[in-house]
Amino acid sequence: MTPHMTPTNPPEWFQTVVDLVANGAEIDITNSDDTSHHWPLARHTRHDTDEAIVWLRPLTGPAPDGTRFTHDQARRHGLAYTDATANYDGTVTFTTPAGQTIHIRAITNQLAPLLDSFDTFTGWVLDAADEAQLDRLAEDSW
Amino acid sequence: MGSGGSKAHEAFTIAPAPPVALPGGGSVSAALADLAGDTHPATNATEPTASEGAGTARPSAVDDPTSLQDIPDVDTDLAPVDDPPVVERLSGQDWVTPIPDTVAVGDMAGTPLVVGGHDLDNSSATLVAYDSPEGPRHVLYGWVNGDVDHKILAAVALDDEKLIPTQVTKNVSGRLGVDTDNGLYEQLTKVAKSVNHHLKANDGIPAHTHTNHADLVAQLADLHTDATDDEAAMLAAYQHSCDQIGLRLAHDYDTPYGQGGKIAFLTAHEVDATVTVTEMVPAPANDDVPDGMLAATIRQATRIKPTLAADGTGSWDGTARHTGQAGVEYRIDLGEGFEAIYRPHATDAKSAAAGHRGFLEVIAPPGTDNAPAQLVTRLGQINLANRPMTNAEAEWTYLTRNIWSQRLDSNPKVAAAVSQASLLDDSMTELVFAERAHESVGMTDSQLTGFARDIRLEGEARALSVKTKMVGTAIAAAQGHDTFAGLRAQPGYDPTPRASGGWHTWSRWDVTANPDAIDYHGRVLYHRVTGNNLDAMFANSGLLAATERRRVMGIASGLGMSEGADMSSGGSRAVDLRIGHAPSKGPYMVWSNPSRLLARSDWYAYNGDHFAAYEGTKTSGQTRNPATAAFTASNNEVLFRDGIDLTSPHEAPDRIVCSSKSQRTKVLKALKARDITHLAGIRIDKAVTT
Repeated sequence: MTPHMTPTNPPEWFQTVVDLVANGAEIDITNSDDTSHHWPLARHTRHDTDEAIVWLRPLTGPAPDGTRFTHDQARRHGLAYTDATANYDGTVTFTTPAGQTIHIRAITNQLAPLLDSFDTFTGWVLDAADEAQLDRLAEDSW
Repeated sequence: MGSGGSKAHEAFTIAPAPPVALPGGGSVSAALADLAGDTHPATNATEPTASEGAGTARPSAVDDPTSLQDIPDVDTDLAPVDDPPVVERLSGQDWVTPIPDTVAVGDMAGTPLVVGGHDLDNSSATLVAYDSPEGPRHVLYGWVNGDVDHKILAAVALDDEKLIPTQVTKNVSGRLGVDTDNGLYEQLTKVAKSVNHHLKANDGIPAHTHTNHADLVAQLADLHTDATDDEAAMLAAYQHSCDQIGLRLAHDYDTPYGQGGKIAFLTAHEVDATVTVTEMVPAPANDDVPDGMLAATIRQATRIKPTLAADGTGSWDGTARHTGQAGVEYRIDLGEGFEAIYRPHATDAKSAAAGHRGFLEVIAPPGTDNAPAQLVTRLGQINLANRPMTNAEAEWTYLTRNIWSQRLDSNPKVAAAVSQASLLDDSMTELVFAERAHESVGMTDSQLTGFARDIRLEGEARALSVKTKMVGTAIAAAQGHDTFAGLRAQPGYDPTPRASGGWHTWSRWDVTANPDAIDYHGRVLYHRVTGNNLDAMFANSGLLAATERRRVMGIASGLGMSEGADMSSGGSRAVDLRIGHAPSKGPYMVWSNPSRLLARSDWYAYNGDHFAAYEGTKTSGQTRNPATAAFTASNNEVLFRDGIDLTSPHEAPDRIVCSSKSQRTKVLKALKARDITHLAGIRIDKAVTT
């Protein structure tokens, strides 16, 4: 799949994010209170250069029948960052204004089935128009 | 305590009334303690004798003995649930929303009702009548406040649900054995996904996908030889899809992916059959339930599973549920075919979805006469206020909503008043007990339990009006008014809730006083939906409803959503809007003056996405101030509880931007079908654009 990108010039490290999510990626979020989240990412991303925001779609829950996701399980999120670094190991690390540390890396076997379910949802269940709308990462509800 | 008194007279110091012994024993005191959530009964060494208590009770709940004379009349007709007749008990009062005689069958938005007291979130309940072959199935639902678990627990004798195997004959739908045994549908899905993926990327379909397709086609042909009629139908459906894939595997296929190139989705082929299966069903209720208690079982949480027909009519067979939901629920037998299902806030329920905690259903058997009134009355069986809200009580909820939305309790005087008000329920209950203790002479244990429940409800009802004056006076002083009457007289002060969809909303006077005075710097509120969902929203309900609401309504939406999924985010009880400059491309809805919605008292906002850190209750970075909500970050969030009624005069967007002319036609048609001619005062043909 070809991730949807803005026509402006995003920072260089963003290409690493694009490649990661296109090939299957996961996000690891550590909050300032040490709670954490670990989710696969849908295969699209977008960068708002003017605001330093990376739009992503973490998949936060399984589809009960394996294919149909709800908005709550796969809502878009805007990752505002104060710092972002492409690391030598192929991962990307962000620091957010809220003090979170976020890593994006290649997906692990544990989370791959959930991404595969979402691939089935977007690549088979949805029609092309709805799929394109999700690719834009601009919707507020389904 | 009158509003015209001096400030000295408006200093409310609350002390508990002297506990009063029961003439026949202490069980009412114990029951009252349960209802109040106390861990220790209200007894001490100086407890007066029965005669002293009954005869000398005085209103020591406030420092001014005469102040209780100012308490407005309150409803003292809080009869136990078995006091007939129900309809007469609930009629003829000055209710905010009288209980309707009937509820439109199949109307999935439901009829909103403001319930007395403050047991329910926003004091709001929804009455729904699902269609069913046995007649309308009425359900009352709402969210119980977090501090009310103990009331329900005090009414029930909980037991783990015991399941016993039972053979039942039922109609089932399922895939054929030859399909599942050979994984035919799974193979089809794998090939279709691969072809779609590479068509979209335009990078050539790999050889292994060609091979997988050829293998599947060959397997379908082989299986056709000895196929039954059902199997032949399945094989033909899958072969048709394979044919479509075959076209796309050809070298000269050139239809763009977004213009018909994507292979259309095919569901797995299923057939209906009548089978005898062994199911685990609940064992009969425990016979050892103490007198006066309700039999209840604990089980893994479920969600009601209604069905929405193409014409928007909702139906439910009384049993269909999404099982295996996170957390637990109590199934409470209310007798006579009525039941309540409640998801507690407390203890191990922490694992439950945030939007599902506190969710209560009260279900009537089909064919119930006066079902709406019956359902409201049944709330009393689980110790909840069981009547509509009076207009006097409505003001208390209005004040609490404004305290929350305007953060009025940051003022020490208001905070002190709120703190003291929280003690009044217990204090007033003691007072009512003192007045009515003599009535309990000769009562059985069961009657004493009901009597205690009655006293608690009456105490809370009386306390509510006192609390309103106490807190209202403090707010008035904090905002520069001489009296509570001064606050009440200010422009925009309106304690009457508004029906919005199947729920109620309460306004905030800092916005309603002058909605046009707030400078949003040219920014608007907007909400972007996916294409198919915009017209479906207007066709189904006219509501932008939060996920939890939509599930009760049986609404799936434009992306073929499943209603069985778990939701871990508190956001499932809210809808998410953005504030900023309107998007360049539809479909989206716009509220050009954000005050139209920000006049509600249930929204909260963040200037930026919490990026998975939010739980719906997280307050870090949260604002409820409209003046600071004119955010600049595009990932801001403005969340509204329950949803937005898109066709109501107060909440409708003034602009709906469609993605195409055909979508505009569908939206206009749906609006006309609802007899909607204007949105926010603008003719729909002007308000709905492309």
